[in-house]
Amino acid sequence: METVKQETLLEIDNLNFSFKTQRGLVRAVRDLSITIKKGETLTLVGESGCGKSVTAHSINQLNPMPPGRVDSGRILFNGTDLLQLKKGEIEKMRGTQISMIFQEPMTALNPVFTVGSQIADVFMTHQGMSKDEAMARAVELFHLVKIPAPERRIHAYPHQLSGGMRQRAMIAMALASPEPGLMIADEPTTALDVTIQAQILDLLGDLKQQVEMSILLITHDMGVVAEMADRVVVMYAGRKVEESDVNSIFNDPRHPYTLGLLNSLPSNPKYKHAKRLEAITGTVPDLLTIGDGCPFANRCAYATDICRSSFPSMSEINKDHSVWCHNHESVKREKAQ
Amino acid sequence: MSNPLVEVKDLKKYFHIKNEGATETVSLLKAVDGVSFDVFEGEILGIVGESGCGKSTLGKTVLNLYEPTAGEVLYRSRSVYAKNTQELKEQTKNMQMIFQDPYSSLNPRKKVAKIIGQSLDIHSIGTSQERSERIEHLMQEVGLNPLFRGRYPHQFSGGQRQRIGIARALALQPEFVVCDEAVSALDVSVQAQILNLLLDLQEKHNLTYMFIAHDLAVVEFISTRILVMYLGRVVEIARKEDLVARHVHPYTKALFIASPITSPDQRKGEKHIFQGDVPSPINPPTGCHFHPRCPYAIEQCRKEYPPMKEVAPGHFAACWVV
Amino acid sequence: METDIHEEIIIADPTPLQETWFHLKKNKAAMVGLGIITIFVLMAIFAPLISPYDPNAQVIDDRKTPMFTDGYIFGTDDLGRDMLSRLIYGARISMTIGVVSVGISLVFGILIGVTSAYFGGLYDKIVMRLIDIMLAFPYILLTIVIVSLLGPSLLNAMIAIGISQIPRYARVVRASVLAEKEADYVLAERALGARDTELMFLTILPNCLSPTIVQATLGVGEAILSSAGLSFLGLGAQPPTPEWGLMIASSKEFITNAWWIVTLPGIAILLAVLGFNLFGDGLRDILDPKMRN
Repeated sequence: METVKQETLLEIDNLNFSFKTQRGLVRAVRDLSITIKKGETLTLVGESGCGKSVTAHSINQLNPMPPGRVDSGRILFNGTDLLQLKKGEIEKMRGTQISMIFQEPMTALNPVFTVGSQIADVFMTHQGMSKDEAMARAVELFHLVKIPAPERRIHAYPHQLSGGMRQRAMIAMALASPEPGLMIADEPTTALDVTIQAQILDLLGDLKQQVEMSILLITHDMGVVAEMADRVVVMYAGRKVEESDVNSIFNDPRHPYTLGLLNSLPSNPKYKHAKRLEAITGTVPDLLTIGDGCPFANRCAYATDICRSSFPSMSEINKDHSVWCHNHESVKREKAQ
Repeated sequence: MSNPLVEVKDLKKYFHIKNEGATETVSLLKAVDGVSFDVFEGEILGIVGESGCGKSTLGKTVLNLYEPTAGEVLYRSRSVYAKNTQELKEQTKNMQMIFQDPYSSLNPRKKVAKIIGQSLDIHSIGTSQERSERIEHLMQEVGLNPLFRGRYPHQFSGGQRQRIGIARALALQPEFVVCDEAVSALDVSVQAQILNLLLDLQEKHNLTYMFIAHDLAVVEFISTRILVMYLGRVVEIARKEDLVARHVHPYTKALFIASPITSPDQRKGEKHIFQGDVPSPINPPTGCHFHPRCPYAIEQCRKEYPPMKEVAPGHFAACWVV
Repeated sequence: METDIHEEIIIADPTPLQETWFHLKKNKAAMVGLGIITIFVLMAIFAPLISPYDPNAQVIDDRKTPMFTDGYIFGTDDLGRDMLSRLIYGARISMTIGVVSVGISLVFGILIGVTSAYFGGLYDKIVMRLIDIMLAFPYILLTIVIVSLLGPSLLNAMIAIGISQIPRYARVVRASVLAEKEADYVLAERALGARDTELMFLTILPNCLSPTIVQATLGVGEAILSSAGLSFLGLGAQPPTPEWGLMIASSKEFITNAWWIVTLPGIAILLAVLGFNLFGDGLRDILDPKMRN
């Protein structure tokens, strides 16, 4: 079902983020612009080092800021530039309008407090509820995320819960905010077993319908993208290389990297009787030595001279689908499936 | 596929876990709880299951990296365990392992050439010159530039480290290689490269693989036969095509259903997702371990663990309801 | 079929040693410490060349000469011996104390620590209990007992200090080995056929050296202090050895009328120990968090 509201909730405007290391400057995110509308699930997909996590962490200022710094850009949330907020102000945002769930719930939950009290804490601190009211709300939320026997479970400590339960508890915590704002889900199912992952994705899908919130989903798993995404942004070496609605990414990929990524999946139906996979050759370039050309050029089957010298500007395939590639026309002729 | 190269007979591996807080009480973790199967020469046997199913422990126990609690493993009809030190050392030439974590499976203080060539030193194979040539040859075979032989592991990417691990495993020219989640820690694009490499090497050297992984899609792609494990036991085993066409055991069904879709077009289907958590191998349920989560469970399932039945030629499953 | 050969361009990383040095240079305190250590080590090595006088030569007429007088830069002591020369030769002795004592502790501490962590079981339990007992003894008491058994001399003091510190090194090494021995690369080398001895000392131990090296560096400073303490009790160096602690002990009574005889050796001890402490602390800061890659 199409989302009716088209208002923009989050706008990342030309973000440039880098890290100062002893070996030099690492430009983790370059010229990145992303918009997320209300009620939309946007997926940032890419492999290690593509900058997706750094981008997500820039939103609520969770990147370690001495080695990291924002070189330029704005992140507008309902009109406010989050990058300009002071520490106290951003802390108020986190847990109220912007919530985050992490890959490893064990490290995100405080081990010395019960899960119930951690959720109740959010209510008591940010919404001024009493302890009893807050715990009652916590039980409600546990119900919402389908944790069985919620009245008992709110008194459990994180280590007493299974991985799947912990992840549900974390989602419950993320939903504790009063206004449905933005949920940032950073690889939420990567550390889970596949049967549990299926349950969590199912849950997130249900919640999407019930609670009107936008989700920024970070993942490297195309299966998760296929399940959850409304729109997809493909990142490579700190840059956005393709952006479209989820159907186009799978059925009509235009960037050689997107195509290569889809071809790397053993689950791709084309490999039903195949002996080998069509792998992308080479490895991700060292972010320290990257120049101004397209970072994918050294691995790209379609690369031409211009690719090595300049990063492509945007080419609009249609209003929902854009790609950053000098040779995307050549890619069009080849299909992933 | 001819004779069994490796025969696993009712293998058990239990661990003693100290309980939290308590003084000396110990729990028994039945990681591998009576596993039997054969591995035939030249095949790729995929072992798939979720965390706690014991597949990693199985791999290490088969190679005698863990001492078994009970049971037997035969390599070319001779026991892997009942050997003296010299024989055990000889045995390492036949069976090797490729490890999961490219960051912890290489000694950070050793240069790459030393890592790959260590086994040659240990077994005193060849002259210094010959060893050097072999190392160079191995590096090229796995797709590494021999010029990097003097570098340390931390100077390589994850995929390259995994290649180093593969070269190391192949140095002694083993026949049987256990791939313990060998591609699980790699990015998707690198994973594809390594899977291709493993297949190339298997063909070239006529290797036999026991390929352990939790990703069903990967196991499906690379294996010739697949074995499904749950909580320390084998629940189903069949040729790949047979298993994909027909999932007999309810847990196998659950695994396939839970597999992520490959395209948003598949979203419409109503999936009957199996609920419940993966139980801990410390206190497995009675009878069939899967019965608490199984929609088909009958009274018998709670009481007694089902035996392996041949449900079709070469296709076995341990379930009362089939 | 051959796979592609990948010609990735990797910036040539420095070796682990070069990297440690690079980080170390940034730590001013550690560099100061290193500087001090270097000075003392050079003093120790070139003592015969740089000493203006024979450290044991007694010049009766020049007894208790103050500093900067009559050609004696640091004055003379109550027997007319040149302080500077005695201090320089004292450096030689102190450095030797450091090396010998820490050497003994290291060798036996590593042996015990590695084997008990690797083999575990009853052996480990017994060894650890013995170590606990040794650690429960007051350190000075332990060294006194050992020296009394062996007889008072500088060499025996070094041995006593070395022995009394074995438990500490054993513990540090054991903890490190326990953590490392479960690593995949250890399992991998075992799968290749490596024997226990190779695994213990050539595979695991090199990866456990960081905390041990830090301990050893700080230990040199401690050994020098301990030796001074023992000399004070008459159990270490014997006269006329120019050991700093002994120099202080035999001139207590001159603190008011010839203060330099007592104070200068004290300052020497202070500087030497400070040097090792600064350097050791700097090493610890680098080796612990950063090297965890």
